[in-house]
Amino acid sequence: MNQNDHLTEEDKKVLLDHDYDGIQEFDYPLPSWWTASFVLCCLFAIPYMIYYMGMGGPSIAQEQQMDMVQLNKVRTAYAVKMAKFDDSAYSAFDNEEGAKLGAVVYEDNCLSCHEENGKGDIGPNLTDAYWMHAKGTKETIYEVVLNGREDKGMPTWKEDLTKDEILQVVKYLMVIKDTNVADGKEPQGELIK
Amino acid sequence: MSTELEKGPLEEFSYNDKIVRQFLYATILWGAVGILLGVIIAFQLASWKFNFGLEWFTFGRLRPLHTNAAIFAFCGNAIFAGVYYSTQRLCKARIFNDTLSKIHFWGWQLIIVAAAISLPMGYSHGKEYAELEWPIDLAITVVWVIFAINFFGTLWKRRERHLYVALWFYIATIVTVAVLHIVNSIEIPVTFMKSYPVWAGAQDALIQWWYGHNAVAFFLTTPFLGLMYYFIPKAINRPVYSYRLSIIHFWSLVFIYIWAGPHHLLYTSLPEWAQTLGMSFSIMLWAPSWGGMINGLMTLKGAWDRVRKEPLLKFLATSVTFYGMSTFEGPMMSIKSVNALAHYTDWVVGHVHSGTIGWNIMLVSGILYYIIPKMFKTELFSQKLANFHFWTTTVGLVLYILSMWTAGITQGLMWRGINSETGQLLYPNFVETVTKIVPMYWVRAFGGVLILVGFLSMIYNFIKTIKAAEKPNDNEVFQAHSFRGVDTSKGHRKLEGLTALFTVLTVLAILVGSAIEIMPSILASKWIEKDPRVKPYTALEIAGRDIYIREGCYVCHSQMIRTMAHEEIRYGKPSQAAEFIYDRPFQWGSRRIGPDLQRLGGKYSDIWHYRHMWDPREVTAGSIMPIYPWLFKKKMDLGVLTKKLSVMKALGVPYSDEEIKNAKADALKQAESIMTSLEKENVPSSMKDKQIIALIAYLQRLGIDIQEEEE
Repeated sequence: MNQNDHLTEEDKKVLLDHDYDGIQEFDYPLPSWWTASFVLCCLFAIPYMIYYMGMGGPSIAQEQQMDMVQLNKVRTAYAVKMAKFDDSAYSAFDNEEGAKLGAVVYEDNCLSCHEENGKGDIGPNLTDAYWMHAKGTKETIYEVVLNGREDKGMPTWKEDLTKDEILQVVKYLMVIKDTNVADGKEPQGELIK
Repeated sequence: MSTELEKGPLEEFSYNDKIVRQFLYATILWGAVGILLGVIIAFQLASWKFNFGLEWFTFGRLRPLHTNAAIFAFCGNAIFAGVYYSTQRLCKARIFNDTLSKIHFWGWQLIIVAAAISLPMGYSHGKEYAELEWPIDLAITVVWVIFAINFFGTLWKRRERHLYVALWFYIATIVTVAVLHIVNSIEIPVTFMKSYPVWAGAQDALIQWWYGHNAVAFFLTTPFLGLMYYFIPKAINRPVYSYRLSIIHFWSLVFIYIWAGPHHLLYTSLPEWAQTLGMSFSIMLWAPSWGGMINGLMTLKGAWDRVRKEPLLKFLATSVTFYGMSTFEGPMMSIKSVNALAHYTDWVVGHVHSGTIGWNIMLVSGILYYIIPKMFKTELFSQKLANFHFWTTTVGLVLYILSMWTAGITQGLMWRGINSETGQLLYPNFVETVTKIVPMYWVRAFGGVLILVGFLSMIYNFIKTIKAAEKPNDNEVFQAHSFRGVDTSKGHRKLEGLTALFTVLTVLAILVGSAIEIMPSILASKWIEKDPRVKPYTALEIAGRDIYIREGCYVCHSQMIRTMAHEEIRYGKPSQAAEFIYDRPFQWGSRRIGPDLQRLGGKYSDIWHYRHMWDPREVTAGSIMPIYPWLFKKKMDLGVLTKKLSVMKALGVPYSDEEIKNAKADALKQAESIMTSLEKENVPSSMKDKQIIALIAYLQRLGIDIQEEEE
């Protein structure tokens, strides 16, 4: 089959006379939309480089710091709001429904160290009457969950949990404390009666 | 055009097609292996149980094997087969030297076998697509030089005055891959299968991604464009669309491509000017890439009716289409704000595979369907089966891309989600963002199975074809005139007759960008600001770090907190270049299947890590990480630490002679202190010399230097 049989008049005009192992080449002009997109990309990229590399365009670090300033306003305000145990907010969860919500928070966040039902594993047993940092009251438990004891392996949760979630998990912990589940971890900390 | 006067005498020659067939068979074999490995690791991500708790079968070790098999074994052999087949015909000359061809073939297969053994054993550089250890690196260099001699030797003996565009792309491939491989692999051996790179930290990252990105450019793109320029016009029997487009897109492609590497490092602690260059050149790269697509598709367009019917042409047309799609997607993902979302997610994985499966596998399949029946002077056994192959590959790939887009964008959005009232992360538990996308991993794995089934059907088709055919005659004689006299052509055409000058200009084109981006990191003392708080790793931490590298932790975990607000909230202060100056190799990673680890040190207790490595689900419900029981059985190798530290010192790490001499004793001491904390949690003291202890030491060190001062 001779490939030239299929060529249009236009094709024949731009067909080059070279032949490489039977391969020939047309010399059609560059598609104008292609040339235009190449030029446009360069027209964007080159001034972009000049702006960011030579004319003091904001650096990534500056932009990030500006974002952090905005964000930290919200975060600081919220940190103040959650810093103290809020009894009236707690009372909304001081019921069966609240304990259920707390159990979900516990499962997602605490279970990996304190095990099912709070029987203790990497972290201490939460179902006995012994306490390492908190004193077994809702206020002190709230504080330990909030701030953590990072040197002892207990992370802070104020970054990850909302105030409501911490209150819910405190409710759950108030429910399971002193239940002394079977095969719980041996007591740690001091006995609080 | 050459006139009668310029013609030399009529000469007779034959082609070395035996070597082409050998490379073709190797392509097919390693293609099946590479895809099979891809399917295996896809299932390992869908369910951690597919790791089977086997050291050599774990994702972190098999993933490098998959990428190396797919790139260097499958694509590599396909390049060699296609280059040898087409170069002989475009030069009207037999390959330069048959012995070199044999050494090339067997040398390359030996390298692949060495990779297939050493990577699962954990011998790894810990640098993506450059994992192979130094003896194999050396072998690659030697074999590549042999390939270069054979190729340029053939050009030298050619009977065609001008080099066809396919050959330009082969030239660019051969010289650039040599430069990339050598520069990125400069390393100092410690033992037979362990070495440390001379580059460290941010500089290592820059050079690695200059290499990594241009492996895509000059191993997966330029040689395949060359193959496209030969096989598409041959298969469709039509002239190439535009000669002048081929000139312009060739030179713009090779010049611009080499600059784009830093787009893999946007928002990292790589100096920002290099990031800006990487992004800007990536955008300018779009049109040059599409020049190749236009020439491929417009050539096919001349006989579109046949493309609709013949599976071979369908493969070729689809491959060029996917090439166009991924070379649009790439520049788009290089835009900083897009990259902010896409980086470290599966979107990148999907993007890569629309290139490797859509462009490379499809093109190679098309070429195979063209070349195998032609070589055996017969018809393909079954067009129907080839059609089946085409559709399984296409559907499999579409499932792959769609699932990875979904997974990537979902996870990217979950990472950055912030509660506007509290300023907290919406998904603070990283594992939530993983379990969410696991269904997509099943879809991807299913897509992979389809692609594998299609590929196997091709193998069956070829076995049937070849069995029914006669043995090919390798002694067929061809005739061609040599050329002589002065070349009277002008402009670029004249250059096409001057191989040496053409090659020199190509080298210059790729060296400009390389030099401008890399030289400052070598020459300038202030390339990054040093931080006196950052101290070298202890001996035990080095031992742990080498375990981290061996297990391929970097394929799932980054050590680079990008300079973004949500990353600071999730992981802590953005990473600084100064923190990595002792990291050989750097371990910034490219994908977060697990969370970033750069400030992991001190975040959890030793016992947490101990439990986590034993079974990640003990401490993180829903984790998809494999288990690492062998770390609890195997002893640490502390004897080699003195050697390791002295190599590090030779590279500029300020270890004192005492530290080097007492490396083992120091390591034992540090191991003891970790053991003390573990024993309190009832870990048996027999664990004190096991590898897990060294790994814990390393993990607890991460990001510590800067934290301590600030608290």
